[in-house]
Amino acid sequence: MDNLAQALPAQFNDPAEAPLLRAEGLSKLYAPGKGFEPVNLNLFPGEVLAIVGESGSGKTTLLKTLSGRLEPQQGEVIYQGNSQMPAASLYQISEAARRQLMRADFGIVHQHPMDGLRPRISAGGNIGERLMEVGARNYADIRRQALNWLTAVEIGADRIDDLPITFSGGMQQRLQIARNLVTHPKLVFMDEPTGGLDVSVQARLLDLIRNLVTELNLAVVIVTHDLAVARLLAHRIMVMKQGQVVETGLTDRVLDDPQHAYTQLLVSSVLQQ
Amino acid sequence: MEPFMVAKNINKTFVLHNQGAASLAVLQQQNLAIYAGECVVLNGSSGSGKSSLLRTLYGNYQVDQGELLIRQPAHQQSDQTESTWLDMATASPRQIIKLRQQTIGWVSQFLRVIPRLSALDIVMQPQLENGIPREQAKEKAQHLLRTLNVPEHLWQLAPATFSGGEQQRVNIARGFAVDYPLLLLDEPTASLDQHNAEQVIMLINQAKARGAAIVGIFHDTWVRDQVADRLHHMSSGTDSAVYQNQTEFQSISDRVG
Repeated sequence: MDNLAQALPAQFNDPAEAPLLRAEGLSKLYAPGKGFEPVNLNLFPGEVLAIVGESGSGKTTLLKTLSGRLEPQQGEVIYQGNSQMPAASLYQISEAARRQLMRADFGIVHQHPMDGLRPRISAGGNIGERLMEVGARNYADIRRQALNWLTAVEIGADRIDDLPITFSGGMQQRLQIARNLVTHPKLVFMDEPTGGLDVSVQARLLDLIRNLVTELNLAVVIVTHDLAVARLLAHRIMVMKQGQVVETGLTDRVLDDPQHAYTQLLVSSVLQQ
Repeated sequence: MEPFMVAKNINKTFVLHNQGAASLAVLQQQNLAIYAGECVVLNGSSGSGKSSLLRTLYGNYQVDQGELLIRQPAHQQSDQTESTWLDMATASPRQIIKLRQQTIGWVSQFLRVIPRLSALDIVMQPQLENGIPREQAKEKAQHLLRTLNVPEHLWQLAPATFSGGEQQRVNIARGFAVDYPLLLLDEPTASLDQHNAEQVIMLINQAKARGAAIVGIFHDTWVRDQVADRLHHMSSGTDSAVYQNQTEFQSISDRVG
């Protein structure tokens, strides 16, 4: 290994350039064309990767496998939080170690916000619970941080004691994002986060996500079928069809100069504004 | 002096798989060298590929054939004096993203941003991404918006409701907010009145004076006359100055090729 490190160009030794997440030969097929076929990818800190494709193309299955929630049939997902930490292969470490790592470093934003929220706990409690999971015990401090995050996602401070079921869909989604970010994860997985939302709420959420990426140097994997969302948020894009990655690259290049027939079809089918 | 960017025998063809695999050759044998402190204007009729070439220089279109070499800053630690070159035709997405953040500025014909962002935030954004402190970024953004006569009461509003000319001026302010070594301008003055076009000409000339290399498309001949140092003819794919410097161009080609 030492020899290899010396043979690599200098930039590969730069800790800032090490990938946070790597997938190598990763696959999970329920049936032919259901699930996804071998995928390789690298994700770096501060980088947003969009996975696009039609329903049933395997996007969500891939996201679940990348985020430690669904064991692959083949291949590995390797996570390295920083250069001081040893790299961990998500499905080869113990269940307890994986849960610990996911709690500390991952955020998971579900398409339906109530899947990621506790309905019978207040908005403030939903945020505070995550802090307690990673060891916070000072009640005043937890409440202060919950309040800061409610403000950051533009939910009024006076709603801190309300139950999330009394919130609108857009507010629930922003609360889910706050709950996920309060522990400062390094990597956030999002499944159609703007899916069921009004266009005006969507814009606010995109703005929020983008600011958080820049300010916290977050890495994000976002599954979406909305190419406009991918264009505005993602640095890189991965196009899937029937479980296969048909094209991948720089977002605007893939959308403006698509090479694969399926990507061309996808791009040309979007209604022009 | 060495060029900042060299395009060699660039070819680009679109293959439309869903339309009978029709192929459209948009760029053929384009050769271009761009030097620091000059403005090269792409010249040719509508449909001659000016925008396609500009988009290719930005990495927006994939190069099918040819090389697109951009000079890299010398490594700080090493004492090498010769510059190194990166071929954008084969560069990774991450390398292109880094180039766009630090090296290549872009002013498109239309503003395309997240809907709710304010004009001021839009102009601050590329600066913040380069680690410029918020206060400093804000000052520069305000200065540019003022220079381009975007009324102050619009600065905190999202540009969606602005006029076409106002949107374009926000777009130009964003493109000039960072001192990029290379600026690509796609008809920046198209929807502007003469007074505002003059402000843009001033910004372009200031950028040239600080050593920026600029490639642009300008339909107004009076604007072109005031900024262009050379014309690049799309029909022949060359510009005369490249050939005056043929020896040097060749030596770079040999070294990096």
